[in-house]
Amino acid sequence: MQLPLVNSVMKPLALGILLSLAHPSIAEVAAPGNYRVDPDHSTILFAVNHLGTSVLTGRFNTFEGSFALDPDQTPRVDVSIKTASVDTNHEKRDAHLRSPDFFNVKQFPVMRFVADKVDYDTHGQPTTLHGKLSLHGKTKPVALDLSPIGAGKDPWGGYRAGFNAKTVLKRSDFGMDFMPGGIGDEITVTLNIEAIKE
Amino acid sequence: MDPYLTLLIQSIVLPFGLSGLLLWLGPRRDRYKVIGNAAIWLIAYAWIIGLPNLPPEEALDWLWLLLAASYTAGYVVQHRAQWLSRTSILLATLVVIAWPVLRYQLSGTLVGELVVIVVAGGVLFNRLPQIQPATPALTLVINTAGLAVASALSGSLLVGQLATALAAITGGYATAEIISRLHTTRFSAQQMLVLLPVYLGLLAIARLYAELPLTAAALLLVSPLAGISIRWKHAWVFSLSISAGAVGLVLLNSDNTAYY
Repeated sequence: MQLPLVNSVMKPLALGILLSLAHPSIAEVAAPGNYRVDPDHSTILFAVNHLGTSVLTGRFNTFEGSFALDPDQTPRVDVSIKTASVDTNHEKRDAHLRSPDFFNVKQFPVMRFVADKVDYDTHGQPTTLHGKLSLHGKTKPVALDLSPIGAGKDPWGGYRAGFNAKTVLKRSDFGMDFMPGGIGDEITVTLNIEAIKE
Repeated sequence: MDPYLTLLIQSIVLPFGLSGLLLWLGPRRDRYKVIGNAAIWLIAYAWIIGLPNLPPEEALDWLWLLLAASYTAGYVVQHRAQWLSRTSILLATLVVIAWPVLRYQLSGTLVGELVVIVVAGGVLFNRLPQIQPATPALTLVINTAGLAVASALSGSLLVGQLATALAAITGGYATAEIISRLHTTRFSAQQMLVLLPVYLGLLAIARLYAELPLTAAALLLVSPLAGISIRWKHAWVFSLSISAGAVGLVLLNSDNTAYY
């Protein structure tokens, strides 16, 4: 008579317990320390208005970075992105983006973000990154809104933390103002970062 | 304003219209026409790319300096030293234009390409005053139009626009040559000597920064040489064929889907 109870309640419960033990806690605060961005599990995306009618999205495929997470230490965030890795899923458009009309990748092969200030909330979680973005030969202050995703041990003995970061830039601030009528000035940049604690 | 209408006005309507007005209503003296056309191209240039950075930061920022220096070489420098000064100006400008690429990706091939462009420029600067081509304006229009199309197809509309503006300035003179059945020209060698360096500068930028294929770039370099060096009223046919070949090569290699 206990068999239906096992099937309907105990088995799912057991499975849930096993899964929660196998996966990192999604509520854990990221441990302080030095982290290296894992490019295999991170994405850098951008979205821009096209002709006032739609939003075009793209990504940068080649990047690296590191950061230090500790409310008591001077913040250190350093992310470099290869501009030639721009990818909008259209080779001709990507070639145009790499040209002098936009990123001019031969002259400016890397864009770099270095943060000099981090705001933390009362739980010790970072909320805003303040830093400088060097892009297309110009350096401007930028603030990214941070949303922690989770942190914890991974199945290979390491420790990982994940964040989502978002900001809105004006490409004209960085000297990229070609075709203002056809392509929006405001670019929404979203970073989905998974980093490995060193 | 519609962005494509803006492109049209910036690159064609404005420079062609102003240059035509200058040709038909402006002062007869050639020196004023030369400076007038240079000023018209600079107006189009400033509208297309925005005011250039000072000091120059990108390759395109050097072009207005190249134009000004080319004009100076023609009217300030002594006649005997003009060829040397023009070639030196071209060499110096190409080096600063190419400097970012030379710094990160120095190679014998890259240096070789720059040397070839400078040598071609030197040959053109030398031959032009001697030969006095029959249809200089028509030849220059054909070459710059070819460069404009090839650059745009290779990935840089900006370079294409600037080359189109150069073609448009010369368009009125080319029209006059065609109307006169190629018997006369109102486009002096001095006009060509001032504008040719800009053509070569744009070609170098398209090759270095806008992924213009090597063979297409080589053809666009040979094209003005053929059109100017051959002593024949219809030498422009050679320029047309070679420029068309360059554009054809770029078309064959590119994805033809429109994405704008």
